[in-house]
Amino acid sequence: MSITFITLLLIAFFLLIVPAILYNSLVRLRVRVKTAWSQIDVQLKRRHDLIPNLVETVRGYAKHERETLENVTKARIQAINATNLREKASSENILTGTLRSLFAVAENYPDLKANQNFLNLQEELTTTENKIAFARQFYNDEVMRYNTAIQTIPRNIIARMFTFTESDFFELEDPREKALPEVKF
Amino acid sequence: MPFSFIDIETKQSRKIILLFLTLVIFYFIGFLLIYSASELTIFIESIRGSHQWHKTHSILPSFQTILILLATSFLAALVHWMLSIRNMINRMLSVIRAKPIDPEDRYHLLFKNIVDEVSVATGGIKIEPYVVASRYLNAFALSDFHGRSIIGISEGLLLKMNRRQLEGVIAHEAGHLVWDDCLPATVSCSMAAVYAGLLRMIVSDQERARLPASLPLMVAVFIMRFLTLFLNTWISREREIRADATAVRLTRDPLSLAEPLYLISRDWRGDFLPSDELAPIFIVNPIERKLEESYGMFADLFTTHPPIRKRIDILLDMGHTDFKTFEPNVKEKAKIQDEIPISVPKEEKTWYALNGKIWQGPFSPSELSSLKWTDPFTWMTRAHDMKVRSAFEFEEINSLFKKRLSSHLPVYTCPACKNSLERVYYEGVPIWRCKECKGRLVKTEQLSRIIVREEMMFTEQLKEKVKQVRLSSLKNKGRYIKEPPSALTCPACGNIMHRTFYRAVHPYHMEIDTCRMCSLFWLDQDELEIIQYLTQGRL
Repeated sequence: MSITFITLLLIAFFLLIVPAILYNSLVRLRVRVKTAWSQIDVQLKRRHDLIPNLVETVRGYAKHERETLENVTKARIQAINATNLREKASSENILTGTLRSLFAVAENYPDLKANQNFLNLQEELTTTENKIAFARQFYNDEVMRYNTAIQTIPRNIIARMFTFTESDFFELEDPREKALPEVKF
Repeated sequence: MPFSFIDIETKQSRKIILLFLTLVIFYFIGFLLIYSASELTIFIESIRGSHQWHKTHSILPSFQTILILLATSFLAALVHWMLSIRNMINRMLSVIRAKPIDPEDRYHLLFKNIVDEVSVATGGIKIEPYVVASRYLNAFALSDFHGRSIIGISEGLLLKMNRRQLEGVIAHEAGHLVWDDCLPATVSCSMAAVYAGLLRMIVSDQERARLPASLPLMVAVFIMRFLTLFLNTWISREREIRADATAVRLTRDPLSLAEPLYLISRDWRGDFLPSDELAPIFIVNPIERKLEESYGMFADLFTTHPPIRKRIDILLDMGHTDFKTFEPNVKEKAKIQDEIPISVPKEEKTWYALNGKIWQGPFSPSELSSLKWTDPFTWMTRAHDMKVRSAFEFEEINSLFKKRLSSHLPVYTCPACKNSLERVYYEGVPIWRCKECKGRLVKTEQLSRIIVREEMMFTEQLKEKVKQVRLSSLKNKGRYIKEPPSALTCPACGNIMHRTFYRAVHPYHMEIDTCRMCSLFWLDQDELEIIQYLTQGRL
């Protein structure tokens, strides 16, 4: 076996096998980002499904808060109709804001606060919001891994060849971040 | 680290082989030690002159013997493996006395929700929530080869922690699941258990027959026991810290774990374990020892968990704070005051119904539909309205009857005063209460949960009643005040209830009515609180 043959083999290896491995790893990362996104979508849909029920329950007790209730309904429709990621993020933020004011209004109605149905819905919404936050966190982690991969050597070359584009982070106002205590540095 | 359950599954098979090989090696070392020990015994005996020492004997085993030992240890490992993985989780759950959650219980629901949330954060590991009905503060995680994962928590912890703190605890356990720590821990636990059992057997034999010959054997098993314990503890200690770190990665909130750790360290973790071997699966060692909280190499070798203070310090460091500012800010959850009725639409009592030949009332619509003697054909009327019709002709009542038919909840009437029972949450447990006489219908398992919870505040009035119960039980010395059988019928099956003494309040005597077939208790007004008061601080 001559040296040239071995060099040829090595070159073939570097030209074919290594790019294939790198390409596969990129595809795997991209699929992961997609799976992580679908998790967020599931949770967002769950939240949208809960809201009509909540609005109905509150309406039964607080008939004079029509404006607040309508805001929530409007924000929900907007959130459902949002198509791209950035639109989704902003409309979800608005929805979170309107829900917060709805719960603030509910504080004024002791009967409503004692209603089991309302309490259940409140707990459901809290857990769904936490799930959204966690799913978002998982998604952003995956996006970070993917984006780092397509920007660093050697995978950036493959990424450019096969047009792997950077994914967007999903920025939301995190309800859990608000609850955290102040940390002093 | 693995990023999702898919990676865990691919890693699983490699891990299983590794674990099995470890098991084989352990058995081999064990057999080798036992073999040399027995040879040594024969040697000692021969020196004494009671036994012939052949030239073929040697304390070091020959190649052939090693092969035989290897084969035997392989077989033993195989048997052990089969035994330990068969039904592994269920056996461990029964040892810990963990039960699946009750989806109607408010605390259990909260627990389930948080487990689901954390499961989302891990990228979708499917986790089953389990609960142990006891007052100690601890949590654990289990998993097996079929990808079944369990996170369990004690009622005590579930009660004393707020939502954020629970999230920290569950994230720590989920950290174990993400790293797949539980599987080797479970197998190594069962491994250690074998040696511990063997040692116990030998020791008891020793006491019975005083066999000096088994001394080397005992030493061999003793060494094996310590070796497995090392393995156990060494694996466990490293893992706790790693799981703490993963918990922070999942929740992004180091204090949410530091706080429960601090609260647990000041409370009771429970020494309910049949042996030390199960300790590694818990968040803090259930068996409290001085050694556990000390530093140094010796402690490192012999304890399953790192000192809690060390773990808290690491977490506080991540949260950029220190123990002095952290400690005064940790607060326990506030107690709740009252029973919460489930769904209380306000209704006016304006309805009358014909029971046989007597008009009864006034009732609210929901009361009417839940009375046992009413049906859609009962004659009914409204106050200030002279029309008398069948119930189904009133739309309002008819819809309630329809709802009652479609709901899975049974309709009960009070055994004492025959009014309808309503559903209420008592300390988060859904029970039945009579609106009029305030008696309560409780399932047996619910009662044990209520006893653990201790959330109600006790009024002075109640304390007075407790005093009376104590006095009367001293006076009557175990005789019934009201003679059995009781005059009450079970709301569920209609049979006559049994009048018995409630066992958990011993040495005091409290008579309560129970239906053993339906495992239901009927408690008169305040009796539930009295039971709680008398069982305070007990297991």
